[in-house]
Amino acid sequence: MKIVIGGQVEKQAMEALIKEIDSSIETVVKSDLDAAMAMKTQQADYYLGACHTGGGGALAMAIAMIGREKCETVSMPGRKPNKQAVEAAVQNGKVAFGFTGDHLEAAVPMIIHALKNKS
Amino acid sequence: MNINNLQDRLQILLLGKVISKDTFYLTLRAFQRLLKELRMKNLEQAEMLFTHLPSALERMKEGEELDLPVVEAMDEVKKSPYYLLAKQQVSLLEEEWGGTLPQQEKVFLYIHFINVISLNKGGNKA
Repeated sequence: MKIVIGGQVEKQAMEALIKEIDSSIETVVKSDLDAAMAMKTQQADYYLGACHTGGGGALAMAIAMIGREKCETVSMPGRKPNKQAVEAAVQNGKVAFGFTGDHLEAAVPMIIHALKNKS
Repeated sequence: MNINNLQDRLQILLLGKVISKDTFYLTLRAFQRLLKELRMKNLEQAEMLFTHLPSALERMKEGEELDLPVVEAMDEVKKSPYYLLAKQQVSLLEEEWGGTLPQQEKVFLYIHFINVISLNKGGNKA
């Protein structure tokens, strides 16, 4: 599995957390634009990004490049990540995930576990 | 980031139907105003603000709301020496947008403007 890390904030922390969960996952950190382009050109399987509001800076470029139907806002200010919603998004074929930087520690494990358990 | 870099980014968002033409131009003009205010040719680390801003404008158009403890957040924001300058930039945006932005959105915009202003004040003078 190859994950590209885009968005605007917490990129190194996100990469470290992914590696902590599963060191076999290949990760690459890029700008939001380059990360979205990597998804478009199928150089990565999944996109993770964070910003302060979860949808804007985290996902805007990914939405533009691969389409809204492939993207999921996992959390927003005042809306914590939800395990069932993340699992449903993964099962429904979402490949790009955005969340707020302060929800990183909850959102990343949820997303990674859901991706690994994808049927 | 200079005006051409921003235009390229916004063009991608426009073509991807993430933003409207109105949002495209409002964002572009907000960037130009900030360049003029700071007397800069380009702004360092402005991508986050100028990706957040068009997303926020679209969010408001859709009537989506952010949940944020506004009073506590504003207490923090007001401590910045650049708060008044950030507030002025947001007010000018509001004027052009033609309405009052929700307070939650304004707080985030203040935070982003303050960050960009503090990073760029005193650098690359035009």
